[in-house]
Amino acid sequence: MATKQKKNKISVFLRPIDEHRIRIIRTLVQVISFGLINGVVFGLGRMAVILPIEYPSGGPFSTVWSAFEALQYAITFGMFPYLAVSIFLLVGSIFGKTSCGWICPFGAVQDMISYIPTKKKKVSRPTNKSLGKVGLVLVIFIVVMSVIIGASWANSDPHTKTAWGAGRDMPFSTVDPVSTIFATLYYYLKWGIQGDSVGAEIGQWEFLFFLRLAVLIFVLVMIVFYPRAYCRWFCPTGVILGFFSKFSILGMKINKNRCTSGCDACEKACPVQVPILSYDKNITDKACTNCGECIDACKEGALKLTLRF
Amino acid sequence: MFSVIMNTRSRIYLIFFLSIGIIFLLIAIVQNQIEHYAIIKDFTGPQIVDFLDTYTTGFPRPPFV
Repeated sequence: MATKQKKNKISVFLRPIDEHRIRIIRTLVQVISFGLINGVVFGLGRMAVILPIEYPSGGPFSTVWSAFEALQYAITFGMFPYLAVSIFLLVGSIFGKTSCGWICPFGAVQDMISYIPTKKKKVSRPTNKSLGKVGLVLVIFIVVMSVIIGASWANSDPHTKTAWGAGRDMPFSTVDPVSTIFATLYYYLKWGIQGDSVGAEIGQWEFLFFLRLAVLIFVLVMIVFYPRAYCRWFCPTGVILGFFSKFSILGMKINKNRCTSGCDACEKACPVQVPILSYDKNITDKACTNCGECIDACKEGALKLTLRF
Repeated sequence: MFSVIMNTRSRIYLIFFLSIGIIFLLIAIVQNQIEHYAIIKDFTGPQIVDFLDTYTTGFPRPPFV
């Protein structure tokens, strides 16, 4: 009798862990990958490794290249970005947008921000879909701009692109909120403190810095109210990886035979508002980051992350 | 381990993009494109100062950097 009571007590104690087991595993993976991506802090060396994540390659502690920055960095030097494109193709085809949900540092930041106790807002399905096109427009614009910079660099003699200003190597990184958080603000504060001039040189700020801050504040406010807003609407890396969601090997699968209660707990739990119940088998939504929140929410075990072929 | 649940069109897309990815990766290796990204390894070199402009333009940089 006493053993049974003890077992009951343990199961009651462990229930919250059991109910959020995917979230716990994912958080652990996010913390570890955040540490590895910022590995310079722990004495790791910088590597010419490219990952499909949103993170400034020139960040103070960055150990890897962001694939989208690598793409721009090759194009603006008049090269075809074989390496960056192959990373997108291979990682996207195999894992889909899993890297967004599990290893992207800014994804982790967005998850942390979503814990701020505010009433989370949802947008309608058509609006969600339309806003997703903002990222696509951004990607097209940036790639075209990079091609123009690359062409001007290749055709100039001697090779120079200084006329393109700060965005000559990676145009998007000049306003990217992720670069602002992880690189710009760090350098600003570090150099400001070293030079004992934080705030003193406010008159010397250029328009670009104000623009950066404005974009960052806008994105952060959006994330507070709309979880993973940057991921689903604006992130260029997410847009490119989302293209592969329809046929990626790793992906979410719903078993409609098990989904009997008709509750929409999975859709309510989904941070990017994927219409999970509208799918019959494979969930192939461009916004799905395979985060597994729906698996935790489903009491009938109808959802799972699986390998498909 | 694999569930055979993907439709034929998706499977063709998957194989196509995986093949292109592998071909591009091989071309990148042959062209030694990784060298282009090796700039990040030498973070104190003069080239990196130029590279950091992307992140640091807009506020004054101290003379010692």
